[in-house]
Amino acid sequence: MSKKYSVGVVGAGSFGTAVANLLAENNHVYLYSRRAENVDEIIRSKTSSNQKIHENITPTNDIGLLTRECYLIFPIVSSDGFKDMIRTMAPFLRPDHILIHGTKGLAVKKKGLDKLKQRARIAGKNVLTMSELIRSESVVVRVGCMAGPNLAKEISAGLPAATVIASRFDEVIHEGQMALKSPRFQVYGSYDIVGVELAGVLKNILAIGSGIVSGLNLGENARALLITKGWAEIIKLSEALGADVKSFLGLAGIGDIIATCSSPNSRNYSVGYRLAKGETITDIKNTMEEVAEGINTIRIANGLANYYKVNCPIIKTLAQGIFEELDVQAGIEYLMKYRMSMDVEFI
Amino acid sequence: MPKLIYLHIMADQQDTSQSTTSPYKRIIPDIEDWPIHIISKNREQVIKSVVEETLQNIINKNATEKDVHNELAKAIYLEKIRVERPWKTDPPDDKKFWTEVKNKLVEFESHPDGNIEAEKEILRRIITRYVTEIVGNFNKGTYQFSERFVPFAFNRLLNASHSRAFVRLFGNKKDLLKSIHVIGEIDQLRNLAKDGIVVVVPTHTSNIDSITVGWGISAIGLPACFYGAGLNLFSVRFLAYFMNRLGAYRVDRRKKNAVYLEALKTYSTQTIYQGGHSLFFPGGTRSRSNMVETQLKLGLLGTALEAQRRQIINTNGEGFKKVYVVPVTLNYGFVLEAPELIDEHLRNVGKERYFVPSDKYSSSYKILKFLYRFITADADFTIAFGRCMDIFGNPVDDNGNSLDQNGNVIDIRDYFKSKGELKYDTQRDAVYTKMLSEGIVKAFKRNNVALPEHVIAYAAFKLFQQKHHTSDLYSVLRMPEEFRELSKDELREAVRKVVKELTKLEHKEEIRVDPIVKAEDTDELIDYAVKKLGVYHAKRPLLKTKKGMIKCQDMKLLLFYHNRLEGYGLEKHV
Repeated sequence: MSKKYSVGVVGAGSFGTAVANLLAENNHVYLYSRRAENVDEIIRSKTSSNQKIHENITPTNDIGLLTRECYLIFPIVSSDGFKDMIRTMAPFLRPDHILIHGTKGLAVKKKGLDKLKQRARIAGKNVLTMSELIRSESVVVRVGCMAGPNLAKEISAGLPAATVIASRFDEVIHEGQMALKSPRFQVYGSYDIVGVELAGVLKNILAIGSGIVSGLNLGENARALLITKGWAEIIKLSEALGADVKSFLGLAGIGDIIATCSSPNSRNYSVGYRLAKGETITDIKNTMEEVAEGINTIRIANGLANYYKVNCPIIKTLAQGIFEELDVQAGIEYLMKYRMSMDVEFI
Repeated sequence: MPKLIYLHIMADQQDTSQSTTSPYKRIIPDIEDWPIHIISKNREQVIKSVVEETLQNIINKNATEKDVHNELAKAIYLEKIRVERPWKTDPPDDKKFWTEVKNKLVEFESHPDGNIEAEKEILRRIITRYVTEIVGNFNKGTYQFSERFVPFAFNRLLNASHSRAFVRLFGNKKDLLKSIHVIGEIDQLRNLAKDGIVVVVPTHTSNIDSITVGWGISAIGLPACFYGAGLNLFSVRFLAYFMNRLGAYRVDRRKKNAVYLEALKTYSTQTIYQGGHSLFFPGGTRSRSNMVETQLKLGLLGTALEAQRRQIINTNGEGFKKVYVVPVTLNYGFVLEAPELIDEHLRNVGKERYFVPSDKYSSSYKILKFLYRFITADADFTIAFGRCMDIFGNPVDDNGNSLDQNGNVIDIRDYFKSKGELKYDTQRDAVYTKMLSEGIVKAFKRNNVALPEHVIAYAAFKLFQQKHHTSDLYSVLRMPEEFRELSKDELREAVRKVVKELTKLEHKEEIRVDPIVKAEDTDELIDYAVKKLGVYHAKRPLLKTKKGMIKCQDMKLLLFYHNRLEGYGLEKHV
């Protein structure tokens, strides 16, 4: 039998810690945090992001050690910090490393950023998913992503759940499954990495929308309307980007929507809720412990919709509400007056 | 920025002590030391080894005896269909052979058990037939003759055409193929071919690609390559004579059964693994639309990867030979078969699966006429060698080290490792092959050379499209003749914009631009390109009228030449 290697998790936020705990049931795990004092604190308190850590976890601040000891690494940091993280890791990475990320955000190339800010337009080639970012910044090719209804709080509470690991490589899916699966955690596989990534990323838009619906007490009918029609917009947009939309019906799509759009435990949902209660986006951002990816995603998705001329009234209204301070009531009126077309005209 | 080398091949440079009419000396002076010569010495041995490995591969790939049987039955069934429409190159006993093996199989099927050994024998017979057909030969004498004869013949033909009289065949010395440019990363390639194994992968638009790229390789002093050539080229007796002796092996696109493909791939893998430089067209077939290929066939590309993997695993990663992939973009200002190609393209858009390849242009007369016309047309023609890449699509430096995005050296052995150990993984290799094909496609595009003919065709076609922007492509193509005229002013304006944009793209190393496109003033460029664009077609893509207008006689041909510059986002700038 071949030697059993440790598994690495990069990023000790709430989801990173939850994944590390899951992995620790089958493996020894190195949990990396960028800040040395954070590592000290985790070691001292045996707690990371308010979760008790498994005894098989060794917190570390040494990325060289982690990449030496682990062939399988889960980078789970926010999309804002992802590029810096991968650049820090890059000198230590080799083509036989496996990276399975769990980040539900997008990166924008510098070239596209200005246009996005000035004209709310961005071409697909200037937007990168995290797997594309890994490929473009490092020598790693065995890349995968994990996505699905995985609320960190529930996972850390030991509740049953499932995820999907997507990669072009069987080996990545297999290694991910072996490392993660447990009696309380199912792991599915998929070859459609871009579809799974996009589904996981774009559903955050609806989580914010759903939070707004709750904050304004608009009722469950309105939530269902928002999610169904919003998802149709997202599917149309993803098709324009050339994605296979099958994955949107799986765990990373529908599965994750059901979890995040109805749970106050979701960060993005709470952003929407607080927006509806009258807080500004700057206030919300400043007081949140971790990044809500959906905020940035709305801006990017709106830019993409404008660029590819895909009709996305819900995304547009959300973008205006957040970045142009469109009055919430005016937004709802606009959407309710919107000329209706046939119900299901996508897929 | 890599140095661009323009190599103008001149008649006066003919020097028999060198490999060709080029200033480059052979990197391995003695033909007897060439890998192709060494490997091909014992053809019988090669065939035997390929047959046995192919047989083993087929058995290994099929889990059960039943699966092997099904694969065999399927191959025979497909071959029975094929032999109903024979080509001239097919052996005369083809039909008889396939009827015989079919009957044998039926006979064994009736036995209740114990037929696997007998079936294996049938399989071996079929594979032997295939391998014997595929495997080429290499003859030193023929090579030496052809390398002197080909430039000589080209030269005489050219001189004849210039003087428009065959009587002056041995008359004045003019530049040989003066408009041929061999450009690109030649020094790097020559350097890496000394110790490594080179796999040359050119774009494919014309039947003469095989000849021109072969000539190009010899011109830069590389040893001859094992050469995957379409079967239709072998139907020309005089060409077949040479190709059979110059390392060319036959690729028959009609045979799509698993047994044939396995035999072909095994042969290619073995030759590359043994250090034979190789060449095949990864697009599989000529680009009907004339667009630079964006989709490649992965079968033969996979053999280069397989060979590299074997090199590494069999040497346990120590002292292995490295395989370098060299993308080559071929560009012509005149493609004789353009009318048929674009017709086929338009007919088959969206239903390529139903496309039945024909052996058109396969009579000796037609090909010879074709060659003659190509040479005498004096059209622009470039061979652009791209930077070498490793088998995963990573760029390599001049010492052959694979480099990552930041210029750091990659140890390619790691690609074949799992948890630190070299390991065989076919699915992983399949993804790597896809990555390589993506890398080649990008390199094709970067090394594409915008010739004057392409620029003018592009600008003109886009102008016609703009004028009829409400119509779809097919309506534009059927535009009545009176609408197919452009004033020189509007064309000049459009060409200027295209050239400006192309220059920007070239600066970003996204395309190469022919010096004439940049150097001449726009009017001269237009005159030059209109005169040369598809000059020998019965109907000219562009023609100057007496009133000074530019007229299109054949919209489909214009589309064909225009297509070479599609995919660069130039349309926004016309």
